Amino acid sequence: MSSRGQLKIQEMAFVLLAIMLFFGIVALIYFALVMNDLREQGKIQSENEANALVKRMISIPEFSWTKQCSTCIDHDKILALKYVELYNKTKEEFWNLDYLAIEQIYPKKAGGECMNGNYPNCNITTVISKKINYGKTSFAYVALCRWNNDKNQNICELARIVVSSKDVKDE
Amino acid sequence: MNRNRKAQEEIAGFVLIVVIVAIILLIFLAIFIRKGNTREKNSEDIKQFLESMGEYTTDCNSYSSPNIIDLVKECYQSGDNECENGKNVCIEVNSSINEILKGSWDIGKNKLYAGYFMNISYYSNTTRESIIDIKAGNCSSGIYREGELYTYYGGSGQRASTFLFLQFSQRSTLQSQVFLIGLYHLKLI
Repeated sequence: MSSRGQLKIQEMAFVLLAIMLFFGIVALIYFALVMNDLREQGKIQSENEANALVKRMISIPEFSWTKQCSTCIDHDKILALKYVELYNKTKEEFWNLDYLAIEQIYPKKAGGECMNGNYPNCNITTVISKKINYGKTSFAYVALCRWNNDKNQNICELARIVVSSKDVKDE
Repeated sequence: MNRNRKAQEEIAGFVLIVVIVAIILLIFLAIFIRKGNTREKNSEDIKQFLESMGEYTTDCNSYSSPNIIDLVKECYQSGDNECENGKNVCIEVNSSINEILKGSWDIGKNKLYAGYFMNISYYSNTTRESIIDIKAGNCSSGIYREGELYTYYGGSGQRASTFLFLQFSQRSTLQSQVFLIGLYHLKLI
């Protein structure tokens, strides 16, 4: 009799284990799918925000090159903007950005930060750089254009605009 | 006693089936989740890269402007044209794009990307003509990003397609790329 009872308890334990395992797996699959979907949505949302921000920056008159080229920005204007003191005091609030820089990708040049002395033989033009609490950085590839006196023509090089704003959060 | 033994065997069999089904489901789940994170088609930033690359000014002054996009068109329409320096337009544009890709995407075994492949083709309604094909590194595994940019010209559906395929290294994923970009900017700041 006690052996039969033991068997029944064992049987029940196995059934309970199987049921728990089954519901556990179902829950795992459900949460994995939901999390995957949420992650995708978060990523898309974050990308959209970042892209919108970067596109807005490319199209503003302080940066834009010509209307015909949607990815071109004017390096001369950007360098000038860096030195406008009135702008320097207010632009962080005006654009609500923590960091804004243009990084040269190709061709790579010897100089580092762009200044009046080494322009255009430089790699980075930092317009805004707050030193604390950066938001997520996002970037867009751009054609960095300027007038070249030696060649007597406009030239465009490959660069990217890097923007960071507290408004654009990580996913 | 025999009956008890049979019942025990049945329960053990049932548990075994549940465990096997669970393992199969987990494998499917792992494949499903992994698949979502390792391939990116129509990448927005690759499109931006291609668009910006098209505006790049080369050293080749010829009949058209020295921008890549115009030189590719000139190479397609009059492949024998020469730049001011006497070099063939097609050779010059091919070499410029090659240099840009080399300078922009760092590839190698221990790098984020294992290789890349780029193709520029011209399409009309019935034909496709490949103008530029550049391949570097290893482009064999299933972890990649790609983007394509269409430029329309002429009235009857004629278009140029610029396609770039970037192959991640085996150990990389899209997440690691985002992580690396984050680190890169952190270093810059």
